[in-house]
Amino acid sequence: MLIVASMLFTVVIPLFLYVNMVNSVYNKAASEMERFDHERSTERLSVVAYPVENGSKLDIFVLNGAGILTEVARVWVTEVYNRTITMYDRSNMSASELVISPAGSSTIHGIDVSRFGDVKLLDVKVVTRRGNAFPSFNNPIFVVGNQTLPFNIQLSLYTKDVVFRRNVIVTSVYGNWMYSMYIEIHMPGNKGCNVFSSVGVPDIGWYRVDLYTVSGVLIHTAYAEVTPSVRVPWVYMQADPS
Amino acid sequence: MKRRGVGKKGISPVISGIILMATVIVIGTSVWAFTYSVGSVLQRNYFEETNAEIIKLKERFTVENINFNSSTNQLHVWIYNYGSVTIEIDVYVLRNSTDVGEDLNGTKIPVNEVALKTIQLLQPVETSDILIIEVLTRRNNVVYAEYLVP
Repeated sequence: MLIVASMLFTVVIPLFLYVNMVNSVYNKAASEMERFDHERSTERLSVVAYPVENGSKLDIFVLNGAGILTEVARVWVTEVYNRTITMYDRSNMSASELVISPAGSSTIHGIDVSRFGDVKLLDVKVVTRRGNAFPSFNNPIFVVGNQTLPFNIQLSLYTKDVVFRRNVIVTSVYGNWMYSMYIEIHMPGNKGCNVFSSVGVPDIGWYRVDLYTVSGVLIHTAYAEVTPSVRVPWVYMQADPS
Repeated sequence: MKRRGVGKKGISPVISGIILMATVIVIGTSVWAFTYSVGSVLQRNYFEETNAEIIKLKERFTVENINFNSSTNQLHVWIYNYGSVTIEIDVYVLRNSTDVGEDLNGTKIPVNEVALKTIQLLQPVETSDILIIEVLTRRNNVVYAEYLVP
């Protein structure tokens, strides 16, 4: 009886307590991972990438639509024509721009895409530290940029054409400056595409932007004002004939 | 005629009591020691098994990006470890359930790191082929990704 009692108190009960303790450690880990998975599933980022500095760099606007803090770990930029992929991480980006508070937003500045050349079709994707990937809403992004004038007008043209050909004429409203350019891209697939182009302009003031088909039909006219405070105004145009 | 044993003295009750007690103590201690050691082994085994399960539970990884280089027939796969333990991975590439490439080096990926695996495909692939990338850890967690060859 004494032996049974001693075994009960020195072996069985400690074993029972130990198993319980180990089980609670397992349950704690399981519950932590469950919470982690839940947090991961609630991450919601809205991403819009757009070219700056004559198309040599990208700025990426990220809106955190979730109720938790989110940290951007990497940005992937794929050049669709050549299938060239570049990864940007903390070593290429400013750390303060990568942490986005709940329901907050941040702009990641200056992603260098000059290595893809002047004319490129880019696919942008943002990956969070929790392993979620969010593509840019306006993928793919066609960028034309080779102007070196001191001011710029950024054109944002949305098209569903597979083969996109347009003429753009930019004229100074109060001056005699004019610039014309031809844009041609071949889309991989038949989805819509955002075509971005940067037009260098020589001075501040009002500019008129006319968009034509190759056969000379005017599709859209827009105006933009370059001011000392807005040195790079944006012009959004529906690029397909109605 | 004398009966055998008659006239000899027996063991005193004290000695017999001591012998009995010693026997009980020895046997009891042996049983207790055996039980204790079995209990210890059970504890250690249970801890090791549970600890392995906890580590397996903490593995999290994803195929973050895939790119195919048609000139070299190589598939580049980036794998991100977003869990809380280091993982060791093997990668298989399947087309129509057939293995067309693999990397079985058991590459270690530390926490919050990305690893690039370059896999030489054994058969040529064509545009619009669908490749299934299977990433298997040494702890038997698995992640699949699909890739449409551009």
